[in-house]
Amino acid sequence: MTFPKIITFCCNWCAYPGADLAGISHFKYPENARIIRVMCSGRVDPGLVLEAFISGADGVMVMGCHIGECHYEHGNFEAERRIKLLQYLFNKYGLGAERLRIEWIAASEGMKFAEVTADFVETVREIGIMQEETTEILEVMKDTFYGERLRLALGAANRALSSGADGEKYEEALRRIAEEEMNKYRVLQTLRKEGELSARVVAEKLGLSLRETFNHFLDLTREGVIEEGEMGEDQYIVYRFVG
Amino acid sequence: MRIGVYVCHCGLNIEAMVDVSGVAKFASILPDVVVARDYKYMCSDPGQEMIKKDITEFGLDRVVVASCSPRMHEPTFQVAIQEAGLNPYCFEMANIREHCSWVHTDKERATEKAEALVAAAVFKASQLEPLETIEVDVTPIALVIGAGIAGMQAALDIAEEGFKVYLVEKEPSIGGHMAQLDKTFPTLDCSACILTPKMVDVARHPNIELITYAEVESVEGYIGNFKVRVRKKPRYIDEDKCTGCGICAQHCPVKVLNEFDLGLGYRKATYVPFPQAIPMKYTIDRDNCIQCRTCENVCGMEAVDFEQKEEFLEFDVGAIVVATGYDLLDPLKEPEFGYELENVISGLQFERLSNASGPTGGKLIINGKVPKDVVFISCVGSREKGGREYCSRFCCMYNAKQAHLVGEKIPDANVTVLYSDMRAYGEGFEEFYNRVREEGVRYVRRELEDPIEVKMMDGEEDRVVVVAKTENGLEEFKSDLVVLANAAVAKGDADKVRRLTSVSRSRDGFFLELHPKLRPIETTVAGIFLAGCAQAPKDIPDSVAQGSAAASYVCSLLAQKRAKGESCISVVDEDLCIGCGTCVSVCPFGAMEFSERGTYGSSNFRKVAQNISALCKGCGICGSECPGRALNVKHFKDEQILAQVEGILSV
Repeated sequence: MTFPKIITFCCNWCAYPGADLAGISHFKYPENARIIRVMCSGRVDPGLVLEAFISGADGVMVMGCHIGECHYEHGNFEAERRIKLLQYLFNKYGLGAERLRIEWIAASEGMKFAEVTADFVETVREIGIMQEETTEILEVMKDTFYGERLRLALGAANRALSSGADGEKYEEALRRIAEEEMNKYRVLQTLRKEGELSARVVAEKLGLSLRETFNHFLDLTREGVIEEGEMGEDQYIVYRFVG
Repeated sequence: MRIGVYVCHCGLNIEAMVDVSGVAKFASILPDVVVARDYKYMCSDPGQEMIKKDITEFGLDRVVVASCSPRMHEPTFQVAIQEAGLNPYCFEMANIREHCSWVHTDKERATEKAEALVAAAVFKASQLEPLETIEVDVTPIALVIGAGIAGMQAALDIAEEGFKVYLVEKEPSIGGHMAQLDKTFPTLDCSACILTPKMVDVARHPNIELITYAEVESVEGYIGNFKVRVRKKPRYIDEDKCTGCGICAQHCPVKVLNEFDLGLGYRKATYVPFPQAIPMKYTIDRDNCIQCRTCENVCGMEAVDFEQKEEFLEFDVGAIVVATGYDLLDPLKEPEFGYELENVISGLQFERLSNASGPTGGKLIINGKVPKDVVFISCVGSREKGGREYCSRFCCMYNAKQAHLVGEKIPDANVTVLYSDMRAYGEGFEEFYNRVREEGVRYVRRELEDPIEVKMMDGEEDRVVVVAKTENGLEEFKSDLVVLANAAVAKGDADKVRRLTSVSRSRDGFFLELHPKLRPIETTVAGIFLAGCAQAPKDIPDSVAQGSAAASYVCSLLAQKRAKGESCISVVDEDLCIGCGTCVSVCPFGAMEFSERGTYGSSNFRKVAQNISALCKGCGICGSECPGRALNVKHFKDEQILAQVEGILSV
């Protein structure tokens, strides 16, 4: 596909028929945008979005029904929460939050579909190609979003908010958990790639504090994905990836 | 896997912008593809026959059609491959018309995109699994919520087909808003005259069980198998004993503003809302009752029962009609229209004034005075950009009707209608509007965005003045009576009904139909249908039509005895499930529940999630949230979506 490669996830009830209406009305937009139909924007697992980027997409857009019009009540809320968190991490790790977009398209908004799509293609064109070197951090991000801890926190958001939790505080907590998990999986990735390493070496490589790095070592050991090895000359114990 | 790919020309619709035979050639070398063809019209009989023949000849087990939107022809091709012995879910479609040929201008690039979409469909097809069609039994009984004209019509039609119907009404009487109206546009027939016979039919029908002064408390279950719990509020008067003689009300010393007359008249603390109420049973309003117990003493039937408690009724139904109606916007929310002034009333209040059974016996008297200058203002709270943007649909015509009624009752009155756009779209509407203008009603146009003010006239306490920018510049309209056409809005308890039924609401708060054009009666919840203004503002004939339409959907479901469930549902991998309950709390339809494995108290005991297939709508939200990644929705599994991603990016 010619640059930029764009994948658009459209929900079956609003966005997909919105795209159909753009077709019926012959509203033009660039060929780069290619649509995958899902039943609900809430079906779009952030892991799928990240896999799309890893497979070579330059931009991913999620389109659902307007807030309050979701055919599954709150699927679009869930989608929005996850995409916002992804955008935050994309920004933090320099991947460009603008490569990700979430939009509400009603079945009657064919014109809006075409306009938003054209605008998104242009935006991604300006940011440029998703460089191959980003794969490493995308893999870590994928592990983070497929990991149990962040998914528990994301999945509980609706329950917490409806029982009176503060929305902003909750989002802040989600960002903190996501960042911690990112660091944990960066540690894991380093051990997987480079064999036996001590906390001191890993901390230095990743620019993390020794305390945090070692806490991740302990977590990962508990999860059974790394194991303790011998003590090195510097008196630091090395750990190795076991899968 | 043996996949057949069929690329459609759709006449010139696709062929003009996509090299269709090139796409077929491209598809033929994709993995697992054993045959790829292009044809002028795939959806035609010969097109479908071609697929069926190939399924037999080449032993195909998956079929991909690249043509129009799956929303158009997916069911067509699913039936075709089923006739050739394949499972209907072993089918995938690539939308190369709406999403490609019709929206692009460069044939080469459009062809490349079509190839990508075909590759995505082929890759997904190789991951598709046959799914079973689930069937459930249907309880041949219906529930209709709301006994306004739409709900009554639905109940009557269902009952006439021979099915039992529970008709639940929140108010003490059935009839809804229509019972409050005077004459109806454009025919000027009396609302009560056409409504009350229907109310009597409802009460008398042997198949209708009328439950008034009651609210639905819970709805559980799924299409064909809903469990309903209804709370019947205490009337403090025994319905079986009350004869409706009214002696209790006659002697009741407590006067309360009558909500049925929108505060224009009084009722007693023991009351029926209006003289033709059904059931004709009195109700004691305990919020205002002073417990003097006079009613208890005067009632010859000993029907008064101050100890009466609320009752709960439970029953099973197979289908539900939501006909909960609408509210009218409180005009005080639009302060420029001066509703706090005594000479300013709402359109519905006008109906009560004009109605022979209303507080003035049908005489147009406002605070003791016969008005001479009357101004109607349309679009009060409707058609607001960025707010209630919709048109309330019946106001233009009831304005015209009310303007006519003023002229009929007060021949020398000066009647002005301040309108923004005239919407006389129905049968006989335009003719009626012309007639009203010919009768001398002055129609003055104003822009909706332009300022308007209704205020008391200096020195004349019983008159008001409307100051509005009109087509003639800034104009003043001195008047004795101002009537506001306030917007129809979603019922105040619509959110409660949404929570009970899981039926989605639109941006305006009304209940959302399944498709704005082609499925206006069904909702997102199978087995639950809409009728009347609960879905959007509409006039009486449209409400009646939708009531009948909902009834016919209900009857065809109840008559079939079996209903088709959703096939694309979530499945739990119990080995991965950590029993956290995330799915149980995120599922919008209550389709996930805990199930126990092992023996309670022993080490092998654990809780796992379980899908209640009949409740699952296949949205897939649970899978995207599942912390253990133990859930996946059939037909839209992770690996199936990722296959599409790979396909799209491969070209």
